[in-house]
Amino acid sequence: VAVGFGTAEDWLEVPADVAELAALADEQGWSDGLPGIPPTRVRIDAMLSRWGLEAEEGLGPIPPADGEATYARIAANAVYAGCGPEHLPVIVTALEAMLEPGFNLDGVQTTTHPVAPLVIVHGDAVRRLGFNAEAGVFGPGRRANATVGRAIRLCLLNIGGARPGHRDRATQGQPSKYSYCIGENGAASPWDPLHTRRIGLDPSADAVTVFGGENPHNVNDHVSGTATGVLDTMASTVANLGSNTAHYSHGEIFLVLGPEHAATVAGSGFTTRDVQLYLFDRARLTVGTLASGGMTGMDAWSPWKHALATHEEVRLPPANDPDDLRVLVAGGPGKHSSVLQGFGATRSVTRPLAERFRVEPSDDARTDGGTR
Amino acid sequence: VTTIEIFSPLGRAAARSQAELNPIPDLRGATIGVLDNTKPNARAVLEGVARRIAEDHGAAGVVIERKRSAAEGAPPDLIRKLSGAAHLVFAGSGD
Repeated sequence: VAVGFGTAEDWLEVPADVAELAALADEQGWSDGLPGIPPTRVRIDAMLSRWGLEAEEGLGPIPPADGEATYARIAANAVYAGCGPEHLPVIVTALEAMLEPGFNLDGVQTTTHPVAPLVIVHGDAVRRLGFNAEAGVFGPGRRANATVGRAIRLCLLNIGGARPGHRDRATQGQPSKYSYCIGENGAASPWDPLHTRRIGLDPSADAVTVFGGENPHNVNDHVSGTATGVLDTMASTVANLGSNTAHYSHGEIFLVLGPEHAATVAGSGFTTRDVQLYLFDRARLTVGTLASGGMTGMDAWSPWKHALATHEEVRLPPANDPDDLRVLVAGGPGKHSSVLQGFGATRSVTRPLAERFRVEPSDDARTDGGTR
Repeated sequence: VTTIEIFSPLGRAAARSQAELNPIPDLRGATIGVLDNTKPNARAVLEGVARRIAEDHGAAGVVIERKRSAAEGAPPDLIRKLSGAAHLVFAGSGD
């Protein structure tokens, strides 16, 4: 047994045939149902040695099962997902961000709500690592988006132990629980990118945002030629009964504008703050409407909202603060944007790529080890 | 069948202390705690069960605390308060 790290029971003798391995993984409960790349010692070594990581070190336990997220274990899941060594920094930084207490990963993993953590990659890392930030950004077709998002899910399943129907109690789940990762389209944004506005990084600096949310809800507006027109359409998608943000007033909503909608909005002179303030005012439902839709029976409203609960005509905003409506640009040509309703009981986190992953640019083109 | 060796993707948790699992041999004179998780009817069900058990087994009483929301863990100060006031706590229910 080749034990350089882990214990003997960590090393599994499995069929070399990938179809047989996929069937075994499914049977033993350590896959997402799709076939993967065998996490051999050579591949894990290549991933860890690229970044000088010790196999037994790591990020600590991942809830709810509290499996230890050692770098070797994270790498095993990243390899199985199809990632190359160059993708590991985004995966590790995203997991670190999810382990911040405010993200409430335990709740995200175990709730009946369909929530999946969205990973947004910012800065030069988008282009350098091959993330799609343009046409079809939420869809298939790019290795980096597909495999990094999948690696996150596999870590949550296999290390965090969130198996559907067991510790993951999602009533229905959602397709983005397979993979949910996009790049921010900074080049097509009329505004500073999210990581610059939020934590003051240079637009070119590598960073990651994690957000516990629903699938994207489409905002189609081929007609409006002004900010107020586009944003009024978006407001209708923001304000709806049935979203967790209606009964969790401390939640967030992500507004992912397509570049053409963003240009229209910015062309009317709107800053991202103006977008937030406008939607905070326009995307409201009355107390009476919220009550009729069952949004007040088990709510986690803030005290100021409860104080208004008997005033049926009062229109309540979709969040506690306009800043909880997060604005960014992603996608390609066309007149579509997206609203991502939040889980509510979670706060998004934006972090620079972890210090230990900052390397000389000349190293970044290397992709060795990912296919051996 | 040709085989290869792989590193298991499954995480393993560190061992938990058995001290966390001390059983309570007798409920006479004990206080039963309820953590209302805010789900519909959670308080009614949990409180009803707690009061029935208290009555049947001679417990001294029932104390009830409420979380901010069903999807968030109880904060440490609430856990300390409840664990200081009760000998056992009912901490969950699904609707």
